This record gives sequence, C-alpha cells and structure tokens, in this order.
Amino acid sequence: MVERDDDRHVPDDFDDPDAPASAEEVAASKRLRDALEGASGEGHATPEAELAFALRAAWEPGSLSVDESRAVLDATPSAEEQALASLLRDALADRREPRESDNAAVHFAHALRAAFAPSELDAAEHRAIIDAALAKMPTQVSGESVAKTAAKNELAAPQAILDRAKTVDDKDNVVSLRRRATVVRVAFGIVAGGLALAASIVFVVTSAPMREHEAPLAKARTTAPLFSEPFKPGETSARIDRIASARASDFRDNRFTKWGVR
Amino acid sequence: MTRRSMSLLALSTLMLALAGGFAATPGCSRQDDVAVDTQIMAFLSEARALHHQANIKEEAGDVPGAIAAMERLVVTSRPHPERKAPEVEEVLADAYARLAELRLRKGDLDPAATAVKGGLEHVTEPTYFRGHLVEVQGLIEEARAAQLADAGNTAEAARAREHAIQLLEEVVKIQDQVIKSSLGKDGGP
Repeated sequence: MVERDDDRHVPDDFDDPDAPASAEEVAASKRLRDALEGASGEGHATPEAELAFALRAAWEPGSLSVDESRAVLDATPSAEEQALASLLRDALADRREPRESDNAAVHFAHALRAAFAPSELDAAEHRAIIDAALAKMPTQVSGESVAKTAAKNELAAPQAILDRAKTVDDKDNVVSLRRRATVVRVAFGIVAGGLALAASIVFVVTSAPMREHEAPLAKARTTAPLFSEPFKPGETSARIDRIASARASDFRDNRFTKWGVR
Repeated sequence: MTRRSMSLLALSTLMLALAGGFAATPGCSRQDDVAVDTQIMAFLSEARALHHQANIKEEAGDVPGAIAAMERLVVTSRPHPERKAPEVEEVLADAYARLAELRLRKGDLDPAATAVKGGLEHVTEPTYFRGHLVEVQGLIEEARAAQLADAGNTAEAARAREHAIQLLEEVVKIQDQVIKSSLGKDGGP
C-alpha cells in the first residue's frame, strides 16, 4: 500500500529558517539595537546585550572617561610604592634586626611580626637584657643583704633576688658559695624553728585536759563490783553473761561519747 | 656560737619537739587505761559464746566437749596485749577455773591443777575470781586425797588433805579481804 502525501506528519516545533520573524523575535531585536545605540552597556543585563557590548569593545574600543582613568591610576602602584614594598619584603625575608637607617615602615613591620610570632632569644641576647636591667639597680646589693632579705621574708625571697646576689657576688669578686651557705643555714634554722613550734602546739593541744562538755570514756576495769558474793560452782556462764552485758552498756556509752551525742 | 653549733642546736630542738609531738599524738603507746572498745567487746562476746557452748555440751553429758570449749577460750587472742584489761584477765581466770572444774569432774587432777595455776597468773589481787580459783584448787587436792586414800597411800592422802585444808583456809582469807575491801569502798565499817 502506497503512502499518500496528505498522510505525512509535520511536527509542531519544526524550525523553518525561511519562516518570517515572529513578533517576539522582532521585539528582542529592537531591544538589542537600542542598547547598542546607547552611550554605554550599563543597565543591560541580558546575555545577548553583554555579548554584543563585549564584541563591539574588542572590535572598536572607545575612549575612557575621566573617572575611569583615575580609577585605573589609583589601582596601579607607583614606582616609589613598588620600591618601598620591595624594601619591606627584603627586610622581613632575612629576619634581620631593622637598622636605624631603615624606613619607619620596616621598624613597624618588624615590631608587628615580633608581637605576633616572637622569635627565641639567644643566650647572649638574654644576658645582655638582664645585664641592662640589673645595671639600673643599686650596685651595693651583696649576698649578705640578700640573706637578710630572705630571712626577713621567711624564705619567700624570689629566685631572682638570689640570682641577683650571685651576679653581684661574681662581679664584686666575693666568694658567693659562702654567702649561699649562710642563706641555707638561716633557712634551715627557720624551718627547724617552725617545725618545733608546730610540734609544741600539737603537744599542748593533745595533752590538754578534756573539755568540760565531753564525758569521759568508760575505761576497762575490774568486774568485781558486779558480784556481791563469792562465786558458786556452775555459775560461770552466768557471770560472763553479766560481765558482757555490763560492758556492752559501757561500750555503747563510749560510742555515743565519741560521736559527741553526750 | 659558731654556725655549726647553731645548726646542731636547731636540729636537736627539732628532734626533741617532734619526739614530744609524736608521743602526745593519740594512738601512740601510753601507759594509760584502755577504754571499753570494740576489741574488748569482741573478746567478751567470744568468751560468752564458748561458755554457753560448754553449757550445752555439759547438759548433753559431753564433758570432753565442754573442756574443749574452755581450752579454746583460754588460748584465744586477747585484746590490747600490751596493756592488760582487767575484765579480760578476770574472764580468762574464770575460764581457767571452769576448765579446772571440768577436768576435776573427769578425774584428771593434774591437768586440773595446771589449769588453776594458769588462772592464778591472771588474777594476783584478792578478788572473787582469785578466791574461786583457790577454792577449786582446794577441791582438787581434796579429790587427790580421796584418790590416794582409795589407793591405800595413807601418808600421801594425809598430806593432800592437809594441803586442801590450807587452800580452803586461804579462800576464806581471800574472801574476807574482798568483803572488807568492798565494805570500805561502800563507806561501811
């Protein structure tokens, strides 16, 4: 059976290049033309308009406005600024101490870095700082005076004072070991005295008479008062019953006394 | 005074003070009276239990069982061995007296006398406990005299009888002392 032409199916979305422009296409074309004829592409957010402006700027670039030119100049570092930046970068890169001749920005950057990530002091630098600080103190301080200070403060002398004594002793060529031994003796005497005083207090407190409100504890004692007549044969268990009962009462009393309820 | 002398003086003072403080600390050994405490009560409870156990065995006719109960009591551990508690000593003396009586009933005179001797070591003062022990000792000698007489040993029987009389006379003296002491404490004549 032969298929007839009338029976051929044409899809609804068939795009015919020769078909006349629709009304929607005409309106879009007009908007693009109006945009390109305008002074600038600002305010045209459609992708077609942006593409059209980019193509025209590449093909036929226009002149910059005064504001645009100034903005470009502000964003570009000057030669002087570039030189200062290089100097600062180099000063920070080799981690050297800033020189007096360095720019103030170098000193400032170094201070910022020291505050944020301080580096360790070497022994010589540490000693120099201590010496500089001690040089401001009175130079008449000696080991003896430090010992007196320690004694006065009851061994509360900080290590810094002792170190100070050693430093001064070294400087003054005084035999520091003897001074230190004196400090140890004084410290020992104070400690021994303190312990002796504490032990004496313990002795006084523990040997003090019982307080008035405390009942004395029932002591172990003979059970003779529990029996008023000589023992008779066959009553041994009765006696132990009596003894145990009497002492159980004493025991309860003692427990109450120790608990402080009497 | 040299520094060395000062150091030695301070050290000596410290040692003396620490020794004094230690000696004054509760719990340290002191020759004072011991209070009625858990240890003493535990001993008394154990003694009571063993005495009643001996009662039950005696009532059942088991004299050796009763003897065994008393033998356990006299060797049990004592509270405060470093400081004698009078109750403990008296209970032990009474246990020895009962042990001697039980052995006497069984006819074991020498072991009975040995028990009396052990009991007397716990009570040296004139008390009912010591009087009772000496009384049992007199009864043992009386029984010994009877045994010797039955055996035809008249001379030894007479000596045992005399010994028994002496012991029983001593009992009278002890009890008189106890009574006089008791009356004196009560404010009597």
